[in-house]
Amino acid sequence: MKWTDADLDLTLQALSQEDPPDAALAHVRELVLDQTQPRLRWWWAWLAVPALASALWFVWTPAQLAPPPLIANAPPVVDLPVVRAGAPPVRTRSRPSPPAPRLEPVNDGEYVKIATADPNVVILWKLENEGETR
Amino acid sequence: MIGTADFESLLRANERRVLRTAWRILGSLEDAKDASQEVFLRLHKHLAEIDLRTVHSWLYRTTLNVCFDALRRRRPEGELDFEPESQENPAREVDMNDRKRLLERAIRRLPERERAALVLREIEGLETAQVAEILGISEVTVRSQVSMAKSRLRGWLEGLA
Repeated sequence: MKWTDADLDLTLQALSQEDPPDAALAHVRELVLDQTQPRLRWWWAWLAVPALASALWFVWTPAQLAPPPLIANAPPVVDLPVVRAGAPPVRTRSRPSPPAPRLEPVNDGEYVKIATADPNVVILWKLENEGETR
Repeated sequence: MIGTADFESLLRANERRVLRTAWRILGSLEDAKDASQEVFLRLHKHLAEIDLRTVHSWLYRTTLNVCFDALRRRRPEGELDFEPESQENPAREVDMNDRKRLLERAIRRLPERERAALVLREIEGLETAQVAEILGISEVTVRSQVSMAKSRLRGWLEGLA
């Protein structure tokens, strides 16, 4: 069999134009996709399991385990006057005390009026027939 | 991050060149299908690390590595013999199909580097610079390996006459 350079180049060219059958390509593609796509599905399944567990935990946890609503029971906020540091103290003026009631001798008997060293104190001594009372 | 749909389109866009290259290197369509499957599984595994602008080079390089790994596990090729496809007229001149079958078998006997350079340059039709980049050698070395491969092939094929 004669093989010149031209024969070799021609045969190489003929080989380069020969494509693998479509069935072989489809077979390879199917095998590759079968082995790659399930992995992706399992990957999402692994993510879904903890998400589902978290959701169930929130649904089934007893209400008493939940912390009390602190905000709802908090006392109402009272508006307190703002006191500025260094503000001058408020001076209050004392009212004059009302005049003391004057003691009038009751005219239900005889009394002896005794003056004391204090001009505001007077002793009234009631005179009775049975004896002395004060 | 590339998605499932993107991977499938990448697979469809490159499956022909990968299977054809593996077929020419291994000389068997069944073995080439196994090798192509391995190449695309590796692509899927390393997709995040691969620059998609150079995915063609990556695919060719990986195809060659997978094929040569398979060849090392396989028995070495035997002597080249020839039986014409048509037995009706053995004396007739061999036709192109016979030549192709003979050449396929002769290519399988080439050393790895020469076979890779010849398949990428002469069958896949890549530029010498591309072949050099894929094989990690200089363009001069690529030309030299292609030339040596052709010389070996001619010698073997003429020896059959």
